[in-house]
Amino acid sequence: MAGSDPGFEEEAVRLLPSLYHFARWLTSHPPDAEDLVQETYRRALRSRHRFLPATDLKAWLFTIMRHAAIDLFWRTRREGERVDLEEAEGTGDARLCLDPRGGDETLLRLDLREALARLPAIYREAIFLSDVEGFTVREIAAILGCPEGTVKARLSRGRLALRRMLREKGQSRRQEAVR
Amino acid sequence: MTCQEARLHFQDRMDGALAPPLADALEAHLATCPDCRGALGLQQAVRVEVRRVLVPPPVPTRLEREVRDLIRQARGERRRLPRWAVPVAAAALIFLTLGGVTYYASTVQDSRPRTLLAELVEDHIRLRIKDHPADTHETDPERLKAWFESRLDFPVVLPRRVADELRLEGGEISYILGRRVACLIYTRGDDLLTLYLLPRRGLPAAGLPGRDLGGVPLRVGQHREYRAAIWEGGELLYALVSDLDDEALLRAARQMTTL
Repeated sequence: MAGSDPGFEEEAVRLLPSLYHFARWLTSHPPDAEDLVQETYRRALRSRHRFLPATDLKAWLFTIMRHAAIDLFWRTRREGERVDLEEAEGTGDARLCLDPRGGDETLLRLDLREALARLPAIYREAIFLSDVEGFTVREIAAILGCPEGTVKARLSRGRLALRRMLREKGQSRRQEAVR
Repeated sequence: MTCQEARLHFQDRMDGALAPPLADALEAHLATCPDCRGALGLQQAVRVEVRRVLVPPPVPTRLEREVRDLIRQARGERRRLPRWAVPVAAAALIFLTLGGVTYYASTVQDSRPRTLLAELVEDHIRLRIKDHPADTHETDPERLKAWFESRLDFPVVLPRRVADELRLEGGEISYILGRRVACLIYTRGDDLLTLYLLPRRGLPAAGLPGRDLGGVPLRVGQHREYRAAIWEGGELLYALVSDLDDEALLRAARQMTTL
């Protein structure tokens, strides 16, 4: 049983950096992220008898964290700035302004972080789980509680939206440089 | 393979999760479609950059200490079992020994039997002791169904008929046998009734004493002082839980079995 397994606790602590990173992206605010991490561990410890040893502890903890984030923050916050996703669909230029060889590396990092922060949460969390944490579509679907097709759509649209925001940022920088 | 079909598989290709026949078909399409090659290249480029730029922040030392404290506290709480824990455990053991049904989560390799009945009752008790036992107080069936379906990964079919004496208070997402399930909350005067809707897949229905309720096979069980009436409908398993007596519970269930 997970509740009497010291490995459960060790593994849960080992996952703290990943959970804190996810919390930072869910909340965009370090103190909130810390609260969220603590709440996640509280809930996990309280319901650890429900954890099935053969399943993935990391995915289980991420699922708990996301529910906690919804309870603690998302239900009360205002809608963030959203991007027009339909406009983001389209051309096949893979490099765009994401190629660091075409611009300033530091600016690219700042722009990408800013774009991610502006991205609606449903896309940001899917991209984070896939591209940073390496979860599969099936695992992400379980964490987010939605069908796999929805996950794929969010990943694709989220990346296109990021691309569009970065391109706009790059254009605005170029215009400023010309002036 | 059309462009639309090809793009459905981009993510699986990037994850290396595409089976050979489909992978071959996708590669053949990509070889002849510059638009899809470009679209896939864009997805890959964004992924590479996100991975490169998003370096995990260091965990604050204070946070790590607080997490370890939480774990230590949880260990301490486990040693101090509540007074009711032993009789409840004994009752559960007797229940299992005397033929109570055990359900197994078939999707995971877990050797421990977990009783559906016990989990339903424990969740029912959790809701009883909450001040406001509902995540949503929506009572319009269509809107409540939509609320559940936006949070669950299965179609939710609410009972079309409910006894007049029951008042729908709202709904909540519950966790039963490790699954997210729908829970409708009803009151009858001061009594609380919870109706759980679970995907039937992976929950072999057998073991509890069966009764025929107007053509619908119904299973009833008791755990602690609570009773549950369980029946199947379409792809779902329905479980009505309450501390009502058998007659009142079956009367309430009878109405609900008409889907």
